[in-house]
Amino acid sequence: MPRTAARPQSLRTRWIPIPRRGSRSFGRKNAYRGSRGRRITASRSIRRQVLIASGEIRLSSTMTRRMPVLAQSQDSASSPQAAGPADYQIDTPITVSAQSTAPTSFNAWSAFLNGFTFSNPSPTNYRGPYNYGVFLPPLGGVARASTLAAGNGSGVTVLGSYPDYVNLAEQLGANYFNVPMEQWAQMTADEQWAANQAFIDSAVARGDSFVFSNEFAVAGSFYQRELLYLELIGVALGAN
Amino acid sequence: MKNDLVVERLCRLPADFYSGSKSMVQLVAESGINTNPAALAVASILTYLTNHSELIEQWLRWSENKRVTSGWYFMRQSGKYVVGFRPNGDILNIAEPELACAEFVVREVKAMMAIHHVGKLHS
Repeated sequence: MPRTAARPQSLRTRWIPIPRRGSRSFGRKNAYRGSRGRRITASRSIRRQVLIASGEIRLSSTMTRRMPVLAQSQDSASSPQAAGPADYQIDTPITVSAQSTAPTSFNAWSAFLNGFTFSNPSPTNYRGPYNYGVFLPPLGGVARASTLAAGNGSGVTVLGSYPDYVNLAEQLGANYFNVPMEQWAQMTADEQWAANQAFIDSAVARGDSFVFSNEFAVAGSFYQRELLYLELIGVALGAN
Repeated sequence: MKNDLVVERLCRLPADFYSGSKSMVQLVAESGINTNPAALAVASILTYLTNHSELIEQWLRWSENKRVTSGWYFMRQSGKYVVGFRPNGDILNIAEPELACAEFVVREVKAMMAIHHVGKLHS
């Protein structure tokens, strides 16, 4: 395809037709039934923005896709939330696979591990309470960091909207982002997103497959930002 | 602080949260609810939300953006609105978005107040 021929392999996109909202085949939920998730759509303008943004960053790792990218522009009139063109529409579960080396130094990753109050983090005073949906022993320092980075060993990370993503992750025994409510409520919006982003970085670094718990991601939601971020760092979104 | 102002601040919590740089707990503490606890009632919240229904989307967003294992949620489901507590808590199915949102706001703000209270005890 000439339009995408010049793009790096990891960012190449194939546009395919998908059913519109209201058509017979639209909205058929295939989550949790073992059938194949089929489609992900993103507005063309948003996708362009993502690809442009992707071009501005230096990808520090090589992403290898296991799945083809399936994407389709979606006109705003058919957008399920009628909230402009920035909505994703997803049938679940869709998996995203990324094989990569770790993005090794992110400020957000440091914040993720250390919480947000340390101005001078030291390897011996990590207090990050954020975990991966598994009970973590009260480790400190490097031991805690490596436990966090390892995830729960399932190789699968679930993203989505609360509480669906937690429910699905627990069903699958997968990794999921989880901050104690006491901490979550005391973080600013930026801090919440930074921690969320760092969690995604670590999942990508592990080479986890991603499963999405929700059919739709509302414009401006963290879920939508998660999807955009995955694309931004070069992880290909594809149907299972 | 007048009751109406406290109610307004409570209803606008997520809007202020996403447009500012304060935590939710901080915003609740500054809302005046501690000196006006009577403002935290479903009836008064409902009245305000009925006149400012655009805020319901903000509360839905706050709920779906949560990344916690345990806590209240507020979501649309099959044409209804669900307010519940994860895991294993009460679940309310409510048809009217304003009422569902008001029920959620009361529960969520109480949870924030408890967090703030515990935080003060520990500090």
